[in-house]
Amino acid sequence: MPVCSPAEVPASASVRLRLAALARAAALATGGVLGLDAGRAGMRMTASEGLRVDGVVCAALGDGRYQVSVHLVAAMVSLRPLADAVRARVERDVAIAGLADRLGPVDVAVEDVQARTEARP
Amino acid sequence: MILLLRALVRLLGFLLLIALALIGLGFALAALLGDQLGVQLEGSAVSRWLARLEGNDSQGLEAVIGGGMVLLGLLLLIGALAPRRERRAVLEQGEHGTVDARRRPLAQMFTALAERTRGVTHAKAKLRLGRQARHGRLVLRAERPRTTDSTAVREAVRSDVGELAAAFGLKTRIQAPLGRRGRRVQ
Repeated sequence: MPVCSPAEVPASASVRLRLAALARAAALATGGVLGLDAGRAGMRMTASEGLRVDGVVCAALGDGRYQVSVHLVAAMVSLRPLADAVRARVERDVAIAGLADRLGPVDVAVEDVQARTEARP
Repeated sequence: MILLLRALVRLLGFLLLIALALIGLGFALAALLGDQLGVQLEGSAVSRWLARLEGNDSQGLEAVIGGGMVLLGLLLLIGALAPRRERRAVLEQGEHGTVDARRRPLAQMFTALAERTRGVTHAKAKLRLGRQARHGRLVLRAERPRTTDSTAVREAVRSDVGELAAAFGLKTRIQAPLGRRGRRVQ
């Protein structure tokens, strides 16, 4: 079952899944991010205990931390500030959730770029 | 190249499977119902060909066909087994993580940036990425009207896309040919 927000992940869930859900929500809340992309085959995701976080790959490192890769669809904005903003937001939200010591490197992968679609009345 | 070989593997694999199935069916029918169907290998072209192969005559054609089949087999093996790794444009790589982008959206960004440049009627970016991170080449074709100078357009486009291209470690080449009739300046 796809997870849309960290609230849908039970507290008993794995750290990997919780980190992925937090990263997904943090990325989507960042200005300039239009969405996340799980790829054509849907392989860019983190799955555990019947739950699935699309667009975020969370992989265990040898030191007990997790490497988080966020695969996003960006608006036509400067990519480096966007990546910095995504990374900062992920780190902040993970720290708020009390998982800062489990977070390793945060990769930001721009999978697509789209022009913003303006809302029509 | 690998994509082409993969496509070749799929196509030939499909066709070879059908051919193999038909040949197998033919042999099975010949073995089971050869007498009733009137199939006899004695004196047939197949038996004559096998006899020629066993003899001392020149077998140049068979050698060429055999060599070709070996080469085809090797290509098919490469196509089936070679890992397909997408090359990505790397913006930043360090202990905090990697920031990278796929080739196509990045080329779209360069095209959009070039088309925003004053004096450009139409732009197209081609991006080739090297095997190593932060190695690649950007070729930007920015069309211009007759009223604008080629050098000025090239410089303007370079100033608009140069920062992003440098951030990705791309070597940039900008062309500013005359555009097609009817295209308007941005």
